[in-house]
Amino acid sequence: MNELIKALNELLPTVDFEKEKSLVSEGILDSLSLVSIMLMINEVYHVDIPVEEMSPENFDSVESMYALIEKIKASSSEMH
Amino acid sequence: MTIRRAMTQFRFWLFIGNSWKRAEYAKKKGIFGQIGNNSRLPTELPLYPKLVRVHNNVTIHRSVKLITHDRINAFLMNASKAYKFKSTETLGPIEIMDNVYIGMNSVIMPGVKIGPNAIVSVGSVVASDVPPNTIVAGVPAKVVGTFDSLVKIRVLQDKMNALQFERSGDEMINEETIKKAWELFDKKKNKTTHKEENK
Repeated sequence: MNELIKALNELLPTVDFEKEKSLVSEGILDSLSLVSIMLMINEVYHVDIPVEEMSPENFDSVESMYALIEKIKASSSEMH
Repeated sequence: MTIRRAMTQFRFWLFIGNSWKRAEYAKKKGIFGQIGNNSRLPTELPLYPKLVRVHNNVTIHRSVKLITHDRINAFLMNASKAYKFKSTETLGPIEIMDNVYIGMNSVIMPGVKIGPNAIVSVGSVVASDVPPNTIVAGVPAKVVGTFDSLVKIRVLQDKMNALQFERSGDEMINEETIKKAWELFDKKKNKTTHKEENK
């Protein structure tokens, strides 16, 4: 979790990831920032976020992003 | 400029608000090398339209320039003392594959093949081939993302309260939409600048 906050802060230094809980709903993250976040998650956590999981709730806070990563990781390990 | 070319260019400008009609007209008259279905063309006719192949579902913004030749040798003929150049022209066809979007004010250089499933961002100068399923941007254009990531982001925006509205034929937005646009803008700017000030 702290690792994710650190990575996000490095990626987008102008956004307060620890405080903001509606990053997408309030338009704090624009589309380019979201692309870079997705690429970072893919690179660091080896997780490819499926289209079905692209909802504001999943990206509104660091907690929800972390939960999403864990969820996808768990479901992909079940499949193997 | 030949009269025929001038007439075609004039017809292209007449269809200024309707890029589909432009493509339909060009297709009917066989002006381009190839034009697929559901594609949209820019207003400026390339010098050699027969050297341009546009496949299906291609959207090219009206301000895009498709360059099918270069005349640098004609300039070098007088400018370079090192070699005696002739006034030749170098040709380069352009092929745009299925499902390609080319954004405002982009320039496509001769000899370039784009896509399929590729996005060329606003103001790019595309000097080399665009790989399939990518987003390219910049001068010269470089890969900055995947087509897939754009789809995902747009799915996300579709689900949230982003500033989206059904576009009307008269290209006008109402007072309410204008107000909402500024509200969202100010809200976002206040959030992002606030953190910078606190540092």
